[in-house]
Amino acid sequence: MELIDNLYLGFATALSFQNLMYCLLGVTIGMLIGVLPGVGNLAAISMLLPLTFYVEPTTALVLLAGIYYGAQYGGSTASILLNLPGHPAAAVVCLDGYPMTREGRAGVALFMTTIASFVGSAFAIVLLAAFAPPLASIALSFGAAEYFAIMVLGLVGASLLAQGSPIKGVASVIIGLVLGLVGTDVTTGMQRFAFGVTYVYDGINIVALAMGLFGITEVIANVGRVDNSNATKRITLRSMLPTRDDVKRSLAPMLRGSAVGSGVGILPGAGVAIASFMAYAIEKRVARDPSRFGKGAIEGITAPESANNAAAQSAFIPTLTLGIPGDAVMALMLGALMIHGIAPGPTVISETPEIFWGLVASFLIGNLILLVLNIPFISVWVSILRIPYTILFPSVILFIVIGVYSINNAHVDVLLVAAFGAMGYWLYLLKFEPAPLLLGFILGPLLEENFRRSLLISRGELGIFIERPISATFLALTVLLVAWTIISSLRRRKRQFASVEEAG
Amino acid sequence: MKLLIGAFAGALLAASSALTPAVAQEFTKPLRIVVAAPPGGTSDILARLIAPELSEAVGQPVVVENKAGAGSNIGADYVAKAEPDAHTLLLMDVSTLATAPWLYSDLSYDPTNDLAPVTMISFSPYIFAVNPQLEIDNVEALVALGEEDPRALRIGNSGIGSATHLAGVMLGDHLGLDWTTIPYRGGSESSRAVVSGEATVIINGSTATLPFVKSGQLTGIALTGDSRLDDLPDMPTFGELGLAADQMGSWQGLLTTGGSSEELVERLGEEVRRIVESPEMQARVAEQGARTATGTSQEFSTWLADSTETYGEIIQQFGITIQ
Amino acid sequence: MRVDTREFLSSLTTLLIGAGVLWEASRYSVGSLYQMGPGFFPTALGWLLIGAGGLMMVVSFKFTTGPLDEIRLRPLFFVLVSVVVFGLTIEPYGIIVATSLLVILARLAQPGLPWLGTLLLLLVLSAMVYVIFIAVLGIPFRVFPWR
Repeated sequence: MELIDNLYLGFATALSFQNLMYCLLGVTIGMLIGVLPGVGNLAAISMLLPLTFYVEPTTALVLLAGIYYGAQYGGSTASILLNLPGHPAAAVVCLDGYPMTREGRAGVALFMTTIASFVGSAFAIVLLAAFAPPLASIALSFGAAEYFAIMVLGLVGASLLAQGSPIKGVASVIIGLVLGLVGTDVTTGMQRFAFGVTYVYDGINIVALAMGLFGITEVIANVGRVDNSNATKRITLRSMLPTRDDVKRSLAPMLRGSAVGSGVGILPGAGVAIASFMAYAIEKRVARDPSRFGKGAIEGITAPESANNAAAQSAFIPTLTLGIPGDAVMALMLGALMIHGIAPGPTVISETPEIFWGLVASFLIGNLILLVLNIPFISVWVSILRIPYTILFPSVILFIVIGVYSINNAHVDVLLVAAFGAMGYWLYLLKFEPAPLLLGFILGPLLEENFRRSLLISRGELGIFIERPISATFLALTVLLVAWTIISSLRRRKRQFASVEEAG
Repeated sequence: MKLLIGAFAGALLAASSALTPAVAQEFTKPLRIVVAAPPGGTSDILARLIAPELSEAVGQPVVVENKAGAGSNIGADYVAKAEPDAHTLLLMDVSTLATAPWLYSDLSYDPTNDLAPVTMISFSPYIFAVNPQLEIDNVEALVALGEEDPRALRIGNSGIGSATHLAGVMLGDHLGLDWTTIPYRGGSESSRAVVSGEATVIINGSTATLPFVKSGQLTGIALTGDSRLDDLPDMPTFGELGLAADQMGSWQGLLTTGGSSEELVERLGEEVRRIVESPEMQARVAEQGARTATGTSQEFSTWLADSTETYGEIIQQFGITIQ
Repeated sequence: MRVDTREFLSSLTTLLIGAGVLWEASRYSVGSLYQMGPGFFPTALGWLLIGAGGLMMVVSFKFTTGPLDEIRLRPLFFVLVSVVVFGLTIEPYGIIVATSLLVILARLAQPGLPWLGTLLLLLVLSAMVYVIFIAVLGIPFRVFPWR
C-alpha cells in the first residue's frame, strides 16, 4: 500500500504542467541525439545544465534524465539502417539489424526495437520503484574480484559474438583488448602504447573506434556499388508491422535482455554497452539454431535493445540511493542535485520522497512519450534509405565526424576515425569481425584493472577469486559455459560423422 | 614619391603607436572558457555559472567548452597555445599545474610562462574518511588499527599522480602507516570502492565526500584547509592534529594564455571576482561543499609557485613517477 | 602446395600485431603477482596473438576461403582524406569550411558524380549542420573562420 501512496505522490509531482513539459523536452532532445551517430548525450546535457540551476531540482532531473534515456531509444536507428552504431551499445544491433534492412525489413526492425526499448525501460523502472534499496546493497557487494569474474564471463561471451572462423573471433577480441591498453595504466600511472600522444592518455575514444570500424568501413566498402532496391520498396504501415512469428520469437529475449540489462546497469562503471553485448551473447547461446544470428534474427536486435534501455534506467538505482554515479552522465546529474543542496544517498528516498518518486513516475511517462513519438518516426527514418547512396554517403561521413568531434572537442578524435577506418577496412577484407573487437576493447581495461586491484587487496593471493562467493559463482559459470561449448561442438561433429557413416 | 609615401606611412605609424595607450583595450570577439574536465564536475558547473554574467560584463558572448583528459593537461595545453589575446580562458583544478611539471618529463606547455593566472575562484578541502566497518572515528584509533592489522587499511585514490594520491602518500608518511594504496579511475570510482568496503580509507574532495559522511556511509576523520566545516563542526582539521595541510585541497582557478595584455587580464580578474563574490554565487558554491576563494593574479602566481615547490618535494621524496 | 591468400594475410596481420605488442611491452616491467607491473597483461596478449596467428598460418595451408575482394583504393583514399581534412580544418576554419571540404572530397570517392550535385549537397548539409548542431543543440563549435 505504501508503494501506491508513493506512486501517487510521484505522479502528482511528475504530472504537473511544468514537469510534463520538461519531460517532453528532455525525451525529444534525447531522441534526436540518439539518432545522430556519435553525438554524446553528455554534450547535450551539459548544454542544458545551466537551465536547471533555476528550476526545482525534480524538474531539473526530469529534464536531464529524459535526455539520457531518450537517447537510448534512437541509438539503434542508424545501426539498423546504415550499419552505423549511434552509440557503442548499439554496435551489437548492427549484427542483425543491418541484415534485416538488406532484406527490406528495416521498418519491422525499427518497430521491434522501439517496443523492446520500452519493455526494457519499463522492467527496470519497476525494479527501481519496488526494490531500489536492496538492489543497491547488492551492487555494493561487488568488489574488484566480482567485477573481474563478470568481465571474464563477458570475454567468453565476446567470442560467442563471432560469426565466422572461431580463431579470427578470438584474435579480434584480443586485438580489441590490445587497443584497450592504450593510455594510462591505472594501477601504476604509466603511459602504455601512447607513444607520447597526450590525447590518448585517457585511452582511445570508444566512439571514434566504433565509428571507424563500422561506419567508415561500411562506406568504403559500399561507395559506388550499393543497390538499395530492397530497402526502397514502398513503405506501408503493413511493411512496418512485425509478423506473428517476429513477436513470438521476441517475447522471451526481451525479458531476458531486460533482466541482464537491469543487472549490469546496477553495477556502477560496468556500462550500458556491456549489457547489450551480453544479452546478445546469451540469446545466441540459448537459441535452438544459432546459425540464424548475424543474418537478421529478430532476437539479435530485441534482446540487446531491451538490455541497454534497462541498463540506462537501472543505473539510476546506485546513483539515487547510494550517491554513486555509474558514468559521467550520472555524475552530472548528481552535480545538478547537489547544486540544489540535495545530497544523494540512502536518505534521498525518505527525506525527499517527491524527488525520488517524481522521477520514477516521470521515467514511466517519458518512456510512454518516447513510444508514442518513435513509432510515427519509423517511416521517416526508413525513407532515409530512399536517398540515393551518392548523396547519403557524404552525409553519413559528415555526421560521423561531427558527432565524434562533439564529444571532446578534440580534432585528434576525428583523425583517429580515419585511422580506425583504414584499419577497419583491412580487417573487413580479411573477414575479422568488428563486434568482438569492440567488446574486447570495452572489457579489457575493466578486466585488467580489477584483476590487479584484487591482487593488491589480497596481497598476491589468487585465492581471492574463489573465496568470494559471487566471484566464484561467475567463474564457475564461465567454466561451465566453455565446457558446454566444447562438448556441444564435439557432439555435433560426432553426429555429423555418424550421419556420414550411415549414409556411407 | 617613394620617399613621400615612406614618410607618410612612418608618420601614420608613429601617430597610431602614440595613440594606443590612450585607448582602453576591449574584448573584440566571443570569449571561451575552456574547462579542463568533463561536464558536470565542479569546474564545469562554476564555468557555466560564471559565463552568462561575464558575458554581460564584457559585452561579448562567453562560450563554455569542455576539453577533458590526461589529468587536465589537454585543456591546459590548448589554452597555453591559443592566441595570447585574453579571449581564451582556462578553468580547472589548478593543483594539476603544480604537479604536472614534476610528473611529465615531456610536458607540452610551461605552466608558469605559457599560462597567465587571472584569479582564484573557489576552494574545497579534502576530507579524510573511512568505511564505518572499521569502527574508528579518530586518527589515534586509525594508527592503532594500522599497527595491529596493516591489511585492514587500504587507501583509494583517484589515480596515480593525482593530488589526492599525493595527499594520501603524505598522510601515510606522517602517521607512519604502511597502508595499501589502490588507485582508481577518478573520484567517483574511488568513492564507490570505499563505500562498498573494497577500499577502507579515502582522502578526496569535500564535494564528493561530504554527502557520504553526512549520510553515514563513511565516517569522517579530519579535513584539510584552515577551518572546520559548518556542516560537520566536530571534524577537526589536520592543522589541529599537527599536520600542515592548510593549502591542500581542490583549488579552482581561472587562467588565460601567457603573454596576454595585462590590462585585459586585470579587467577579467576584477569582473570574475565581482561575480564570484556575489551572495548568490557564494551560496551556489557552498551547496557544492566548497567556498569561494578569490585572489588577484599576483596572489595566484605566488600560490602556484609555492605549491609547485611543495608538490615537487613530495613527488621527489616518495619517488612518484607516471612514465 | 596452395595457400589461401586471405587466411595467409590474416595470419601475417595477427603475427605482426602480436610482435609489435611484445616489442613495445618489453619496455614495461612485468612485476610480481602482488605488485603486477604494467607489462604483464600486454605481454600475455602479445603471446596470445602470436599463438592465434600461428594457428591461422596452419589453416591457410589447409583450407580455402575463396578469393580476396579487390582493395577499393579510390573510395579508401578519398573517404579517409575527407575525414582527415575535416579534422585538420575544423578548429582553425570552423565547421562550415570543414563541412564543405569534406563533402567535396568525399564525393570524389565515386568517379563521375556531377559537380552541381556536390555543390547543392554542400549547401544543404551546411545548412543542416548549422540548424541541428548550432541552432538546436547549441554545441559551441567554431562556425566560420572569423568567429
